Amino acid sequence: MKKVLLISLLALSALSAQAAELELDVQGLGHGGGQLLVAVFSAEGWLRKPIAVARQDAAIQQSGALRLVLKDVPEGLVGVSVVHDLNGNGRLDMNVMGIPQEPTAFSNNAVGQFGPPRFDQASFELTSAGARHTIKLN
Amino acid sequence: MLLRRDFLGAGLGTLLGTAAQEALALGLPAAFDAGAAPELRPFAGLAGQDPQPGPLRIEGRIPAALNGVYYRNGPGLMARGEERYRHWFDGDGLVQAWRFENGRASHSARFVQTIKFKAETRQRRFMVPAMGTAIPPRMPVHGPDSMNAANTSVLRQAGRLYALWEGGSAYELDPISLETMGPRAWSPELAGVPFSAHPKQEADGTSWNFGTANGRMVIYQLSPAGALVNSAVFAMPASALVHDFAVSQRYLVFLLAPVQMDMPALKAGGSMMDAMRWQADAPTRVLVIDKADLSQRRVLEMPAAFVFHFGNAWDADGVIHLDYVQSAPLPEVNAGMELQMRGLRPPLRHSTPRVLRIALAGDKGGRISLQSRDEAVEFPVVDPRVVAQRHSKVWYPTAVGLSERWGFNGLMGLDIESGRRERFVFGPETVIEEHVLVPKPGSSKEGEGWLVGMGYDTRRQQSFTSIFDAQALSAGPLARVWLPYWLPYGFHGRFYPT
Repeated sequence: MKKVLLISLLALSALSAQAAELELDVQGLGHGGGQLLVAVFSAEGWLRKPIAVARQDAAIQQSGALRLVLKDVPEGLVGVSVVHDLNGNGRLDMNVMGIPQEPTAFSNNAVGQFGPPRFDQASFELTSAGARHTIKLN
Repeated sequence: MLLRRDFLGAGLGTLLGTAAQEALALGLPAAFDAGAAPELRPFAGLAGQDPQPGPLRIEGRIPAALNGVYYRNGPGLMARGEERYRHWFDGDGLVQAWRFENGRASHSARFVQTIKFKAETRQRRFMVPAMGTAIPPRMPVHGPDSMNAANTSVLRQAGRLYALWEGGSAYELDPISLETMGPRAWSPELAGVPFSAHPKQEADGTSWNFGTANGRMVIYQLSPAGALVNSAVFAMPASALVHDFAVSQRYLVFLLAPVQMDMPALKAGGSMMDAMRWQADAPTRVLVIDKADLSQRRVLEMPAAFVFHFGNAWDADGVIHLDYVQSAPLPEVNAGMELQMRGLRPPLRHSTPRVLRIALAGDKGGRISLQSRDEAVEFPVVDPRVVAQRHSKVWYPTAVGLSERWGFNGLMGLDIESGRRERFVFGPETVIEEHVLVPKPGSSKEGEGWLVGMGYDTRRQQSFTSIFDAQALSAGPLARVWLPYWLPYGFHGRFYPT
């Protein structure tokens, strides 16, 4: 599997000075088009205000799998969302009924009922030692 | 006493994906015993293999002029491994085709190979939540079609056959082999959008349907060739479950019951059905939409009522006439379903006929009047030739003379204008399901036709299709075509002439 290094954005929160490395193995990509949108959140900004983001061209996948590394992710309790942005427009598209049209997944492979999972379902502790998580898109 | 273990709320969410935690499913043990209620045996469901064709036994004589296919859909699989669904609506769709030609009959049946069914067959366990059973998601859920059970009704349109489930897309099937082709999108924008199990086909071949999700309603108008000619999406008065609607010459009418979704209960891990709350003091909202301009909508109010099914509607001189069947409130219905699914008789709670009149006033107003009857009925049908036209006849399965036994044991034809009714009633060993009106070739009068539908004999433990003369209902069935085994009860079917 090809390893791709990405630089993540610096933490938006001025309170956290501790940062760690987060490695994500994304699996189950349907086809190579578009890009992956990855966002890391803390509890306060869950699915609204990311504390780290990354994008990756989905074409580099091998057998539906792709690895990303986010550096300088603020330590603490975090949750991750992954969107396969199939048409490359930079956002998760919804249909007219508000139903997502592109595959999404979350850390812990958490699934919500009629919407995204709660933060506590997707969250895990990111320590200075870093973390490696597998997320299945399909 | 039921134990609902809210393992998500117990903070075990971070362990989702671990086999040990996944064993804590929120379904009931798979054991099923209908010893005390033989009419509930078919709720055990099938194991998942398509029923094999077996010799059919014909009792009586099938009318030679009855030529065509009766398709029927219903929840066929109720349990996998140690987990059993808690609600009748959860089971995976099993579609049957009863073919009639020149007095002979043949039968085939196949499970709809939905995304869900294929994954669950491969993994030998339930993989996604069902409406009435909070199975933990064991594979990614990407929207309603990940949970589509394709189990409620059928539609044949422009030569294609569909299995319908109100929460998601219509699933296309091959009309001859019943092989599953996949979900149908009526347009790119409406891919994956709910398509109810109660489309209305007018005499000219136009179909109307709707879907609801996330507080919004979508309306579909399909041409006879199956093309989407018009659609609209708009915010609707909140109502967590809208199953059916009525179509008249000029209007679409919805009765939106005061059922609200308890979102915290849902997010805490309860099933969708468990999270529905009945507001007895709130009104049922009557949504009337102009077919010629879907943006022309009005909302009237009537006392709280829950409705699954409508017969038909027509309008003239600014007055809409429609009939429906009034059900017990949804949470009570759900509680009864839970017992049925364990082989226990639910408390008797009859659904009864209603006739509603809406005298429209201006663009936004109207006055509602209501008539009630007290027969125990459900699954109303009308002559397909009068859909969205003036009608007077409605047929229903009915329960007569049963004390505790679940289900219907007869058929009733009601003239809603004169109030006259005709019935045929079996004994308590027979369960009767929805029967559709099949017009007699060459006839033109409303009600000139046969009633065709299914039933189950609790002593023989065999299912059958029965055929009645709709104009001589009290004479009893003209024929019954018996399967050598039983099949699970279904919901809705349609007959399409050859």
